[in-house]
Amino acid sequence: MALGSYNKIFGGTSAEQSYDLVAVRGGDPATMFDKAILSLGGIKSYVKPNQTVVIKPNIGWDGPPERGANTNPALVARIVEHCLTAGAKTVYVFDHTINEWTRTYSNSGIEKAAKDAGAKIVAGNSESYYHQVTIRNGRKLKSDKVHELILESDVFINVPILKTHGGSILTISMKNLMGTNWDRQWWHGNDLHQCIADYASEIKPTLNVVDAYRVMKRNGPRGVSLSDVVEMKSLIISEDIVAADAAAAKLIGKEPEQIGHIRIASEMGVGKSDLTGLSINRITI
Amino acid sequence: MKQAHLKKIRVVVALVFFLSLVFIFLDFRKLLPEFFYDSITFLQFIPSFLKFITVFSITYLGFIIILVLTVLFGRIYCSAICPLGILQDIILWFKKKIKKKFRYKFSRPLDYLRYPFLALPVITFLAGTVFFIGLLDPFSNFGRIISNLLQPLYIGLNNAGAWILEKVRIYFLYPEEISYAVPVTFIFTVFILVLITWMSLKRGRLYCNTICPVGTLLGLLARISLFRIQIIDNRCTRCGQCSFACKSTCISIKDLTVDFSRCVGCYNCISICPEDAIKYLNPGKQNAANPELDKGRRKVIASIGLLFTGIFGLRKSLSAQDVPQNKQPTEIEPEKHFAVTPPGSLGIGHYTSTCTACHLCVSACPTQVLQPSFLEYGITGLMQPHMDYETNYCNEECVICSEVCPSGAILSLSAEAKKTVQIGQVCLILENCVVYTDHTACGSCSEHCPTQAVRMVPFMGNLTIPEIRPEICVGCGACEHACPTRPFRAIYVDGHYIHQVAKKPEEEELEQPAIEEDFPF
Repeated sequence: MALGSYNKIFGGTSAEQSYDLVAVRGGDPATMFDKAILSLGGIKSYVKPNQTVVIKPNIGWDGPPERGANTNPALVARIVEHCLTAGAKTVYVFDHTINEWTRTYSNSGIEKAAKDAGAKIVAGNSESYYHQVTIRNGRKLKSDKVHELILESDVFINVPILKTHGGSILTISMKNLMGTNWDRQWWHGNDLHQCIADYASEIKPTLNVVDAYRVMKRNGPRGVSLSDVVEMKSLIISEDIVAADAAAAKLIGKEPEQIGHIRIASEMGVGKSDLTGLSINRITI
Repeated sequence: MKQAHLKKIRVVVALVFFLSLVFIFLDFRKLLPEFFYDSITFLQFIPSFLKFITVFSITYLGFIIILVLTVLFGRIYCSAICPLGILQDIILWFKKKIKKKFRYKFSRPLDYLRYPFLALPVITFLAGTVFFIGLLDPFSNFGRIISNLLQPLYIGLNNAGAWILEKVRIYFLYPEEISYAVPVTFIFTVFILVLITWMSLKRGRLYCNTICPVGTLLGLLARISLFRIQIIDNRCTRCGQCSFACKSTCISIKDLTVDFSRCVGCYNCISICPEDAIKYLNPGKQNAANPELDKGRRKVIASIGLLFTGIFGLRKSLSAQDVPQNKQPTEIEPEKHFAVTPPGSLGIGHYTSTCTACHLCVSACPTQVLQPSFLEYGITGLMQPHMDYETNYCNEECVICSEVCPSGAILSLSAEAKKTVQIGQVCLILENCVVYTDHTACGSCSEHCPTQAVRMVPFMGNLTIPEIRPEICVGCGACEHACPTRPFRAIYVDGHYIHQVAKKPEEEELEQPAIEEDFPF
């Protein structure tokens, strides 16, 4: 149980932990996560015994996993298993869905996968779960209501899926945070990119795991049919939310600077969008 | 079988129907499968009748079974199956608990009320509107009572439970939005509830024998029933117990008669009689030599036959007239021409002439986009549900309303078929769009659009702005609901008078990326 802390004390085996970002390709979602998290020293670097963990996948749309609109259920399940193995007390999974939530949870396959792995599925559909938080460095977004599990849990693992997006061009880790807050519509009406960056400056995930196994290349974020999706079989993982998004943007063929919220967040010092100075572990399976 | 057991059987059957029907109108989590809805509403007279004449399928022969049962044994429907009737029995049961010595008293039928209340919905139905059927149908009135008055309490209770559990971080229950009926629906529903409560406390099943058209129609048939409850003269001691227990106040001890057209089949009389002097008998056998009765029976059968022939004939010619009223797809104005009816309802014509506003779809709709209307369909469409995109939008994969609708107003539709049903078309007012006015990114409409009938195209710099392709729009209202501009939205759905077919969005194959390539960073 205490292996994680010993590793930290002796620092011996933690040479691998110095990566800023890990990118994996060529495997199934669960295997890619296994490899990636191992090269960051295992999940025990982030989850200590008896801690509570909240996992926030993208569970926005009422559709099956093949459509690539929601995070891959196998990936979510694998992360839950890792957390529980590390001794987590409770692992919660939730999203503030866009389509009707009970159908979305169930048809996305995430409800069953997460429950079977031992997680607790929680609703995000009611304003009563969300509590006012001041966005201290927000330029446009000065305060917002945030889900209590995000505010209270010891560990927050952000698990977006990489997709195109009609409004924000791409949706990755920072955009996925839109779903831990209550009023999304306000962001849309008040400079979307700035609001995304503002929110990311305050609400910081412990770890970002970008699912790029099935990638929606057009008609995002919802997609019209299976033909919008390609199999990229990739995964990116980083503590730096901006770096994770910059790498994922490159993966889908966009320059990070083209994406308003990635550029602004980098300027605001939320993280680094310039990948050249980062230590990156690239794994091909 | 001893007829004294009839009452017990009736009570058990009634409770099963009543509790099941209460539950389906309360249940917002849709815990029960589709066949449960079908089987529990199968025998409801008006919905079954409307569904039968709409889809013409033996699956909806429930009302025929009720007619046959009535011809055999009288109005069994009214005490064992009809939820509004059973509701009155429950009110009366409580009254009896409080006022133990209460006795009913024989009264004459109010023919001057009950026949007009039967004629009104029949005549107006033949004239093409289901409005008065909807107002008077006992099933729909019951549905509105549970859906509009009790469901908010039920959800409130659920939310209180969810709130308490949430404090200790148990998320087994979850809160649900409570949507309150529009005032006119609320007022009418309260009025009906007060009316039936008052009438039943006043004189038992008075409502069922004066106002309810189903009661009166079945009452006409009960006049010719093969088996009728009758008093056996030589056994009867004139003690009056049966008359005092008769909720329909239809037993006259003076004349030793039972007015079987008003008898709702509660069997209080049979079970209370100490002499076994009142029971089901076959009047045909007893009065074989009574030509008067046979004549009356033939007359009733003939007139009812005529009625149904008329209904089928007229309905057919009506639906043929409905066709050419749709607006041109090119007439896009920044105003709504028609309210939107749910997928499967074929259009305003079919829908408003079949829906009795029972609100089962309103109760079951997971997004609550179906809301009782006020004047959206005109005065005769009062309370019929419409797609209210202010409240929410229609979920692409969901067809629950078409599964639960008992009257055939919303016809069964597969989720796949639904994806090409166009219930309305998208209209865009670019001048209202936040991208156009503020030069900031949004894309909320396109993000929600299931078909990309609204897609984002390059605008200024890195900005994108919506562009619409109405031909592939299904009219789900997601764009309208999601649009952030106020007081007027930049994008909205205008309903179709008759639903159209949405074109399938074109699908080009994307090139699959080669995994061997190196990382682009």
